[in-house]
Amino acid sequence: MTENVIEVRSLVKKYGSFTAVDDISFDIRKGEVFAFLGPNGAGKTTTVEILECLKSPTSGSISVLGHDIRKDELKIKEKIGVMPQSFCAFEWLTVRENVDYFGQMYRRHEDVDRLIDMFDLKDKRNTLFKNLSGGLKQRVGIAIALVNDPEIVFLDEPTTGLDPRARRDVWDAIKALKAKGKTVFLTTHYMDEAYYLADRVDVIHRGKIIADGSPEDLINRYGGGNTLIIRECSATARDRLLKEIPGSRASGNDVLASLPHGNGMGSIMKAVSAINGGGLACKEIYVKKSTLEDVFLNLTGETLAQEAN
Amino acid sequence: MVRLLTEVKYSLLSFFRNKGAVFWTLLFPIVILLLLGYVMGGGDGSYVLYYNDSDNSQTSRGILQALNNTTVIELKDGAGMDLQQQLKDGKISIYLEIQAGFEQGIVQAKMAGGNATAPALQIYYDKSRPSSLALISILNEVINGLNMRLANAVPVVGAQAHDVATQSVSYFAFLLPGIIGMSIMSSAVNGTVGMMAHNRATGVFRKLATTPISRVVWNAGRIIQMTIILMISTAIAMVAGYMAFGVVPNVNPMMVVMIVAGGAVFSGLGMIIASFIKDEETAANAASALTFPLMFVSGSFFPVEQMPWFLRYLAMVSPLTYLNDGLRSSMITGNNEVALFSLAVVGAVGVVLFVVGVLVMKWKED
Repeated sequence: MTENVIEVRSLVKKYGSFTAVDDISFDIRKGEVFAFLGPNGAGKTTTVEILECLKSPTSGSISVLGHDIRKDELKIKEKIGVMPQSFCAFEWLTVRENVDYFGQMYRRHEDVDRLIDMFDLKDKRNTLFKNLSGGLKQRVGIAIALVNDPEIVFLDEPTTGLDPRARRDVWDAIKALKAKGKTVFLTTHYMDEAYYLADRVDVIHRGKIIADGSPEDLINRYGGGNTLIIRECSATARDRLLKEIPGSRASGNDVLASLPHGNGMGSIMKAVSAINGGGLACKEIYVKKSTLEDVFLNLTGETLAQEAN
Repeated sequence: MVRLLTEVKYSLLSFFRNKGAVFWTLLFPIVILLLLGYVMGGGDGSYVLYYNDSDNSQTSRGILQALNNTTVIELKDGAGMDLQQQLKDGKISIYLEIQAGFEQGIVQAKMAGGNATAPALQIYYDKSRPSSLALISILNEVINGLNMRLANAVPVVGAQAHDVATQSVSYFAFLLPGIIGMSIMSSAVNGTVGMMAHNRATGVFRKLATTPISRVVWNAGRIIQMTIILMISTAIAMVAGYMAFGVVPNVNPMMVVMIVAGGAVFSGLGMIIASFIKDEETAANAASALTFPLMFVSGSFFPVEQMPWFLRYLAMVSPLTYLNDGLRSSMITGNNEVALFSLAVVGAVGVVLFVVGVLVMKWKED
């Protein structure tokens, strides 16, 4: 059993009568990449900001690296690295100066130039922060979050607002953290991000954690199984297939069939033999895996993307 | 200590890279100094004074000669011109009329002893034109000198020219410390508010709050940064004052300590404003709304004594008044008693505002 680096018990955060975080408990294990997945306003950022000592909890007990968050704030701050939501550094300082500035704020800090090399920022070391692109700013943010060689790294919505290429770069940087053996606490409303990066995901919705597990585990449990898709069938083929495959439905010229857990092969065999035997005209046949998006939809009846906008 | 040095080093670097901020902080005082210096004080010393000498006597010519000798006044004979109309039309701001029988009147007055009224020089001026006020003060100075000499029956010619020139310089000498005090206030308040509000808006504050840096260190950084900027700005203003008006102020430790204390007062005030008003633009407006009136009621541009009584009460509670007094005493008059008293007031207010500024500034959000 690996040790817990963060333990949260019955955490509540209220703003007036509004409860942003509603009695949640969870643990984070050493060395894992842990993700909070949920739409905006679900309570992700509020929770991590409490762990980062940015906000005070209304009630509940929290220990970070064995320190009580209410008593040992400074000790915790020395040992964690944070990239806050919509991160910004000093605009009129260069990349190198910014990394150096934040390094000096800690008792112990990494070598500035090595860190810059590690995140592929060598070309930009003398560029003013304000002149960097969004993706580079986030990479500088991650580099700065590592400047004190922290035991836990918090990344709050690290790729929000980035174009796909820049997102990939940031993902690579986060993968590199995992390779270094850091514990990473990530919040995101992108299901692909959580799927790609996280070892373990907690789905958070309206201040409550509604599911916990590895991405595959969550998909298996809540994804509603896989779906067989047979595309662009002729009218005869479609009617025939709908009759042959149990639990199938039509969607335009396509035939869709949910594959039952542990017994998907039967449906696939039936489809293939029906097409083969009857000489049916269909364009393609494939199995679509369910995603974390489906998990969220099945758990809440809402889509992630809807609420994110 | 390392944190404080890093904070100061990089905040200064940021400041000097931001050309807009540098321009306003360092050049604004000079612009005000030159503008006010020339408008109110006459700059290179050539006021034009039209006169009409209807007496044309030895005495009247002597008076004109004395005025001419001041070098501040450029006399122009307005004989045959309708000076009154010119004044009404705004073509001139002041003129001098010596009526016929002036010399005779003086002689009679002297013979009658102190009982008879001596004839007066007639000065017509446009109150709305500041340069006319400066000229009147020079004229008064000359006439005072003349009166003394007339009473002692000493020849009139060449009276007090030197003193008059000094008198006109003394407005710049008055103005320079006032401008320095004013710019300490506006740079420190606006600079601190601007920096804090901007860092809050961009989110730098949130990042800082996750590091172990303390509020005391961060705020001390603000004051040290401000003090260094203010020293540079003061030095530049003094060089400009010397080059434009020939004012050579005393540079002494007292003055330096006054600048540090003034920096603490107004950085502290800036911290408090920025802590209570979170929105960047609103905070900047609040800073201007507070500092702008203080500029005028605190004896920066003209003596507090010239203001109506209710504004004088305002001046009494404005810390800028004491900073101005202290700077004036240490830089110009050398009155150590006033300087020490002012320093005590400014220093005490500075400590209080700094402590309050640290206490009200929160890293944590709600």
